[in-house]
Amino acid sequence: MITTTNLTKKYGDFTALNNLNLDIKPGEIYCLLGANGAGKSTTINLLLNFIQPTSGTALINNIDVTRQPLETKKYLAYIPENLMLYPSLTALENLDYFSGIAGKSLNKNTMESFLEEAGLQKEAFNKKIKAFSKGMRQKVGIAIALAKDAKLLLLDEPTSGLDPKAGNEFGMLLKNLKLKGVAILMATHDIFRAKEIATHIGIMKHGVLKHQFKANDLSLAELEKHYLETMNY
Amino acid sequence: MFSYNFTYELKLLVRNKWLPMLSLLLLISFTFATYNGNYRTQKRVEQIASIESKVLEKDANMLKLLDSVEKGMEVKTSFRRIPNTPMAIGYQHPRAVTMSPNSMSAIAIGQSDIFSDAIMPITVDDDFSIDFTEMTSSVQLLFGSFDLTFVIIYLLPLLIIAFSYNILSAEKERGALRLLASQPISIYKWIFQKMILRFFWLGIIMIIALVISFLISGINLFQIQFISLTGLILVYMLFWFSLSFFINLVGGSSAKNAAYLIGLWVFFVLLVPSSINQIANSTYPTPSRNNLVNTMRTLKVAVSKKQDTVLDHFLRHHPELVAKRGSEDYGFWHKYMASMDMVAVEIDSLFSLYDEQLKGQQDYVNKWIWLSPSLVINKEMNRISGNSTADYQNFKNQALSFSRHWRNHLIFMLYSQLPFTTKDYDTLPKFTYKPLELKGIGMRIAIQFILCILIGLLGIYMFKKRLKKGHAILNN
Repeated sequence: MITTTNLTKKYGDFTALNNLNLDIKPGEIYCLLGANGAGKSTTINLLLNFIQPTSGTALINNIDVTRQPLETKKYLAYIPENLMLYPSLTALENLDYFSGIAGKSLNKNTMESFLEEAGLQKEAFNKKIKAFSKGMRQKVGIAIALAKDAKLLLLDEPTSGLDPKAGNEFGMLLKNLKLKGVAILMATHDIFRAKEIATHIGIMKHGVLKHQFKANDLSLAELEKHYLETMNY
Repeated sequence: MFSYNFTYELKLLVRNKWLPMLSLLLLISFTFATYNGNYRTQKRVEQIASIESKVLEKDANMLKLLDSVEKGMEVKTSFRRIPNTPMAIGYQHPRAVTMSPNSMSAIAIGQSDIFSDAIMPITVDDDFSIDFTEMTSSVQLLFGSFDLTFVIIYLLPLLIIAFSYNILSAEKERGALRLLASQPISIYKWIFQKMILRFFWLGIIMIIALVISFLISGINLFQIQFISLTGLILVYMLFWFSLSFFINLVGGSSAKNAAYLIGLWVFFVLLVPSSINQIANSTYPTPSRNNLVNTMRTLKVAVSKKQDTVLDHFLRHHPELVAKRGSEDYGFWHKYMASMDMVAVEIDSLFSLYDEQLKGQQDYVNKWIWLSPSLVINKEMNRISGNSTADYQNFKNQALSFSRHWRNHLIFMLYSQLPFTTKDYDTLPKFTYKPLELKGIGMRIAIQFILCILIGLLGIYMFKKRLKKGHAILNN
């Protein structure tokens, strides 16, 4: 679903991302670990075509991201670190608006079922977003992704700032999406959550993907050891 | 995308109190400004009516007196005031020369607070024409009274700026832009739709406020000028929206955008008009008015001292007026009117200096007016109101030519030694003001519209370049 080939982004002399090769298939959850400035967000921004690569290519569903950005955006959903919606619109209205401008008209029942599936409590459906916590906003974000029927989900630090219960709920949601065949790329600092939900884990440093593992191939302790070793050298 | 933007933009504007606030602001300012303009218009109408009725009243008395004299009845009036000579008519019974305000006069006070629109030229001189020498370019009038034109030219752009400066930057700063930009939509199309919708709603509010303010002031809505006015205001609004669209696309943070747009407001509304005005005035300075008045007096004195030679000179130039009965019949008035004719010739050359300078100023302003749509719209609104410089100039010329016509009519009677009788009353010249034709407004609107499209296209072009560099979506 996501294929990057030697994807590189340079800002003058500074290399933010160096020859990244990724291949994420439907039903996989790929967690990118790394310190701040490791190139995780750059990867996601490149996949969204918010910035253009210096060299290399990125394909989503076999479509080149830089050549046909609008086409690739039909297949993906993105939840930024701090998901902002329209504060004076309700959860249902936000869902309706974001699906609508993307070209999906949905009736109220369908939208409610998406919000329910995303785990938002019913009494919040018609409340304005301004009163929502980050976890609740993210659930609306997931509902938007569900409504879009996205084949690919891009997540940038989704669990930072969530309380453990909300973080756990979010992990469960991602697992459900995985079962539906959605490919998920998640940039995170949260080693524990990554080990828990990921199928694949990559560790980045200074714009380079240093290690890649299958999540089942190593224990949490081994993962932490690898992570710290990578960071120290 | 459009139907969703339409629905939710409306919801957001209502919930954020934007629409109610704008409606209230526009309604209050339009109503007050139109009321103000209409109040002055009514004052002018009253003044003109009072002058005209005074003339009618005097005429009625004059005819009664004349009738008594013709019937050989004894009258108590002094012989100088008996209106049986053409000069008594010319001196004591001037006609009313008036320019009635048109049906849209309330929208722009224009030059009407500076120049008189009701004068009563007497045969003895053209002194009233001095009143017109202070006439200046329309630019100066930009800084005028609180009328509808002022509200439109100055205040409306500020409202538009406040209403639209941060459409993109606010989303960026709140962080919602990332989510929007991850949808399969073009961001510039999205901003464009938001802009168009805000233009649409403000346009609707503006028209409603205009209609209400006109109804309150009792101005007729069913006239072609109302449509022209609405078109002009809409295209002026569109100009500011297109500037705002441009700044949204190429600008940075909300604070920067606001500063850029206020800068543009200062440039188009204040700087360009006042610069053009300054340059026009210093390139074509108006001669001193005191100088003109003094020259006029000196001339009159000089000419009156040599009235005998003046009369000979006058008669040589006007052989048709030479009396058949010999020169001994020429009295005071003959000499005086002949000398005035000479003064008029001299004065005309002085006046033409004013006219030339004024024309120079106006041509200069017209040459550069396209630099600021504020100037163009201001000028067109003044034209619709019938109170523009051109209108007053037109009135001045008509008044002057009427005054000469009136005088010649009576001078002919004077030199022909004809008395003035009740029968001559009906043949007295009458003044009717012919307003300037109002045309070319549609063309102006079309040109401004094309300008707006060009600004928009330039914005889109620059935004696409920024998108490639990655500056458009992310905060850097």
